[in-house]
Amino acid sequence: MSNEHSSKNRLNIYGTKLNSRLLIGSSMYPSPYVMQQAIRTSGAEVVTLSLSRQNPQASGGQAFWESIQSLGLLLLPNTAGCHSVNDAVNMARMSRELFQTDWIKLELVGDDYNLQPDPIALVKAAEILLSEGFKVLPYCTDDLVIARHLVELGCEVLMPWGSPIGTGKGILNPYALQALRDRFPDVTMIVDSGIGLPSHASQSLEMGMDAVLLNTAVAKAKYPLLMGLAFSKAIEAGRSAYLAGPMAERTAASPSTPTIDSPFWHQST
Amino acid sequence: MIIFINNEAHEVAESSTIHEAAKLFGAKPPYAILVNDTFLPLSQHNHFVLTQDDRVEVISAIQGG
Repeated sequence: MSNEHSSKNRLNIYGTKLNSRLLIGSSMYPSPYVMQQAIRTSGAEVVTLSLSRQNPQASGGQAFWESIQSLGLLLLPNTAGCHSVNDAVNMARMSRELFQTDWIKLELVGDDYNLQPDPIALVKAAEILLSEGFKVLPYCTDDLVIARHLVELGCEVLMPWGSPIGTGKGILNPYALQALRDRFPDVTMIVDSGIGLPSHASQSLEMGMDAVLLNTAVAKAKYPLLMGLAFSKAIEAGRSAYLAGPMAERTAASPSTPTIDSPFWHQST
Repeated sequence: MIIFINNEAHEVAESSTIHEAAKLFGAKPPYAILVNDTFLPLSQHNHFVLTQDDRVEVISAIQGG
């Protein structure tokens, strides 16, 4: 669809314009080969990755890095697993050096039960990283006030959750996400986490969200390549529906077939 | 002297640099370094001199979501 890829309609991440509205993770695939193929099939132009202690005796780390590089996509490092501002800031600095990007998906775990972001630490870490020139993509809840703090600090992208990481429950609170969308119309809004089905992704885009970030839904599908393709189509459909302007919802039925001059008009009650 | 690399004790020569310690460890580039929980930029790997009981983390890319 030519309109879909027009300059004005491309996903904007801190000035970088992208055709795909899907950002995809690199974890939990059955094999490196399947990971590569599923990511390619999804059409994603941004792939997330992380950092860990190196084990020189294991070749897996090096193989993963070479595999990711061969995809030729933009890298979005995360700070997954960090529980403190200091850890997240250090991880972001290491990521910038290793991956040669100012982008950082800022994750700060506030509670291990549902991996809910710590909103206070998130704001503090975002402030430090923005001051150091990072382009911060904060993983946050759908809390409007925390979002406002992040935006006021200078975050041009917000990544609210649909539901907790890895649950696949979709968008649990559409009202809250819609409020974020309406309150910050100029902020790039990416639904991050909880997306389990293509219909969840489509719903996100229909709501006016700019993109979705997901991993488990594709990696843990029975056929990850096919699911990557399904998400690609769902996201395009959702975005097109948003641009098309959905009809107004009604409570009462309204006939779609004209009833004027119907031969059976007198049978109506 | 003894230092700790990725939580394991290693014996290194006095006045060893981070670069030398990483080489001893067998670190494969690209990697980033934390020393005592603080990021040490690549430009300082050849200059930063370790001391007894320093904790070094050699960090590299892994899968992430």
